[in-house]
Amino acid sequence: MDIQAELIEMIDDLFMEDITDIMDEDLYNAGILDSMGTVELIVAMEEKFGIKVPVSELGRDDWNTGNKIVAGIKGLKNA
Amino acid sequence: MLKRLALIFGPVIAAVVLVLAVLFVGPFDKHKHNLATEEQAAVSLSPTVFRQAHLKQMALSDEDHRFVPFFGSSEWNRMDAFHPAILARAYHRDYQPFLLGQKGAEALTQYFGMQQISKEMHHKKAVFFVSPQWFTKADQQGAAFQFYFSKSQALAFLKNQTGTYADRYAAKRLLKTYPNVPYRDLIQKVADGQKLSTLDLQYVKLTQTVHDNEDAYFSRYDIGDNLKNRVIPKVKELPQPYNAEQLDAKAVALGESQTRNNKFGILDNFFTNRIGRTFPALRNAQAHFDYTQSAEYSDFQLDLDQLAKTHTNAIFVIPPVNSKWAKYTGLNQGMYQAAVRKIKYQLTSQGFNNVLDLSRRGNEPFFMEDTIHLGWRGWLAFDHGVAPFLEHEQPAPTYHLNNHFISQDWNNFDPINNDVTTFK
Amino acid sequence: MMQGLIQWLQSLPNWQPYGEPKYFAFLLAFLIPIVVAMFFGRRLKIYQSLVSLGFIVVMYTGASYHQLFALVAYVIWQTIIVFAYHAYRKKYDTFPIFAGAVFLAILPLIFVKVTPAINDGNMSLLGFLGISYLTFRSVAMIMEMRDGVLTEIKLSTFLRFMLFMPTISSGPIDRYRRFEEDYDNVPTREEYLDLLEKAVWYLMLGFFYKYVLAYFFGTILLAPLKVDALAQGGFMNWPTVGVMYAYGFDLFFDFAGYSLFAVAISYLMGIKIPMNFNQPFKAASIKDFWNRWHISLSFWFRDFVFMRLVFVLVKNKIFKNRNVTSGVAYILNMLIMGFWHGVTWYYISYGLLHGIAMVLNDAWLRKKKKVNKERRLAGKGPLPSNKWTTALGIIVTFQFVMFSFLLFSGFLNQLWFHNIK
Repeated sequence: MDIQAELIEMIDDLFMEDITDIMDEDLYNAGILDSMGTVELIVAMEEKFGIKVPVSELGRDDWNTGNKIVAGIKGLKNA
Repeated sequence: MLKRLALIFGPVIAAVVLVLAVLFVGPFDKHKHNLATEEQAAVSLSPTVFRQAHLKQMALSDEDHRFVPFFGSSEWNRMDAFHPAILARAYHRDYQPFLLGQKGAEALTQYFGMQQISKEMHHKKAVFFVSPQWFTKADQQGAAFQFYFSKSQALAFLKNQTGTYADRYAAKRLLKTYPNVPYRDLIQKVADGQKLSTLDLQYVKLTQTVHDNEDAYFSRYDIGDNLKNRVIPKVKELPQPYNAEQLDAKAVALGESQTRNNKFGILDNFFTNRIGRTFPALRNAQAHFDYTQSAEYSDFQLDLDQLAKTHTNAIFVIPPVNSKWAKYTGLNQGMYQAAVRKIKYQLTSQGFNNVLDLSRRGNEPFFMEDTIHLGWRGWLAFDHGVAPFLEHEQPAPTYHLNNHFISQDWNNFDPINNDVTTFK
Repeated sequence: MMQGLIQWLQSLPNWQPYGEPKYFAFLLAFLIPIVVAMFFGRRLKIYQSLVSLGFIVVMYTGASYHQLFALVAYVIWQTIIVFAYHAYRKKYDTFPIFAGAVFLAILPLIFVKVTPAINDGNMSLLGFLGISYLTFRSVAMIMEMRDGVLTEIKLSTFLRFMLFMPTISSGPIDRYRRFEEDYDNVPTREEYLDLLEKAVWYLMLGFFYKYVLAYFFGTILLAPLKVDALAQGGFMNWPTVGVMYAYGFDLFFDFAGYSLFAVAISYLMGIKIPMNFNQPFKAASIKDFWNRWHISLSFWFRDFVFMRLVFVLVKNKIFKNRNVTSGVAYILNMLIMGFWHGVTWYYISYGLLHGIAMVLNDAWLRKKKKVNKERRLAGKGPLPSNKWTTALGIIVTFQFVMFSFLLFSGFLNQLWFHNIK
């Protein structure tokens, strides 16, 4: 399974929302993510992908859509 | 680019220009006399009217209607039917009192208030109600003084002062009574006997312009409704035309009907609300009161100095205390009379010869409205003395001031055991 | 020498930031060279620092001269902690040292906030106007260094950031990385003209807020209402309801007016400080409200308190139920904010009340989500969500917020426990 599919599944598990068709939509504006959800996502990503995402890294400007998060994960995995 | 800058800053510049215009030009009607406003201000007793200059200046400089400054304190608020403002109105006297001073106002407060109207007082008459209760041993309370003090008074003082002995003393007193006074640095200079620089004076003048305009915009909104509620209704109660006997009978009748709940001849309301439950505790409570030695004597000299400076012909009224009440509270009448002697000596020895001394009449029925304030027949007695002085031409006074009245020597002079006339 | 310095400081006039028209006249006059240079694409770093320093000094002159010494001591303290932690973090990353650094950074603030509560209302000598806002800035830096997102810091930029004059006394609370980027770059002329335009507008709006509306609500309306309310006394009365609304509006217009000034002056200096208010009384829910009210503070608490609390709770699986996790975090977050305002029963209950409101708000959102899902499965449309439901949300939120401000004002403390009639 690739990162994108895993992220979609993760978000569906955590927040009961399917973001397959809205990968470029702002997840905060859509009401899917809030500060609580952000942290849950961070913890889940840490466990799933074995990366360390600092809380202050997950800014609302650069980690706010499905595609941006995927790019972020890739960036951190390769770092 | 320039267009964009103009769009951004154009409105700001326009606003600044407008604000400056409003501040430096003032309201269009600032030099106009408005009789209705003047009459209301004259009896309003509002702190704003006292603190600010505009309404006082407007009324006192009105050439078509004669307003006379009545300096005093809490007695002006005793507005029964025989109050000077009501008598003047009812009998169409050629003057109307402009009441200056309320509860807590004392000589120093009056001094700084006079600064604002020095031009308007020039060669005019005035009434000065001087209460021996001002002359307490404890100094004038800072809070009361600060309440009636204003920037406008400070500026007027700075502009008028010429560095005389009295000016320096006034500045020192001001700094002592109001340590954080506005324009402290300039006042300190006066106290230290330094001359204000041209720049200082320019600054005073500029600030004064702005203050005066602000005053002219706003003080008209705080003149209360004493005229409508407390003066005009009582004017209608008085007999027409003027008849001294009828007035006296009316004063007795009104006094009788309003002093039923106590044996002191005190207004029922006052006795219930102001004395009330403290009554038993007040027995002999004033036995230690002493008005004979006080810093107030030097402050009072500042007032006299100012009156002399403006060639004002003033009549001084000295009230009594309610004799029955004084007996109950133990106030020493000998001490009271000694204070009156000291005040009178300070006045007459310097050429202030118009003194209406009512101080021995506190035992006449319905003379006092409460413990220390005139009412009914007391106001009529006041009128008998004051009205002729104001209505008739008086010889110009010649004042010869003695700076020694501004001194610890005089403040501490004991008029009980010494003959006041020995003080030089 | 020291005595002479103190006397000199005492003799200087004291100018509170944005306190009176004269302050603006002088400040803007001193800013003219900065604005002109900025227009031509240059930042006068030294001049700007000197002007800032001058205006900071006159905040603490006169009777409050000792605050200037407290400020200097405080800045030295924070500089040592931040740079020591920075040096440490380059090589190591351990929790105890991180926690120790944060603790030392907030220690002066704790002293200042606790002293009045245990010392009869007397102020701590360590205190100075703006200490909380400086603490927010340095603590955020330590946290971002721990996270590894803030790796390079410069002493000169650090001092300018901490002592950024327009916002020193009451925010908005900026972040170091954001500030540094603005400071090291000069906006293009187009951008700067946009900033100028906004600055002018914010200044004017600020005047209207602070000197007209706040004066109206705070001085003309509030003072007589308080007198009436205290005269009537008792547990609750109508004038107290008036106090509630008058105080709420006064608080907003006063603080929003001040914040507009701070933002405007920052813009003139080419620093795009974040906004602090966004029409808070239009908030349709309490969560929405905290995205609109004192934004830089609530976001600071969100990023550095709430999210970290949640992180610890989730990571260590303290609570099984995620709703319990978020609830506990909301309440703790708001309680800490309450304590930060001051150690008094009314600030703390204000925080608690908002914490509970956040929990209820969240519960309602979950409920709505669930109901809508069921309705969708049952082939029905979602629950109504239109301008009427929004209006209802606004009204309810507004009343709640106003009530919480009444608590915040401390007036109930006076009415209930210190009403000397």
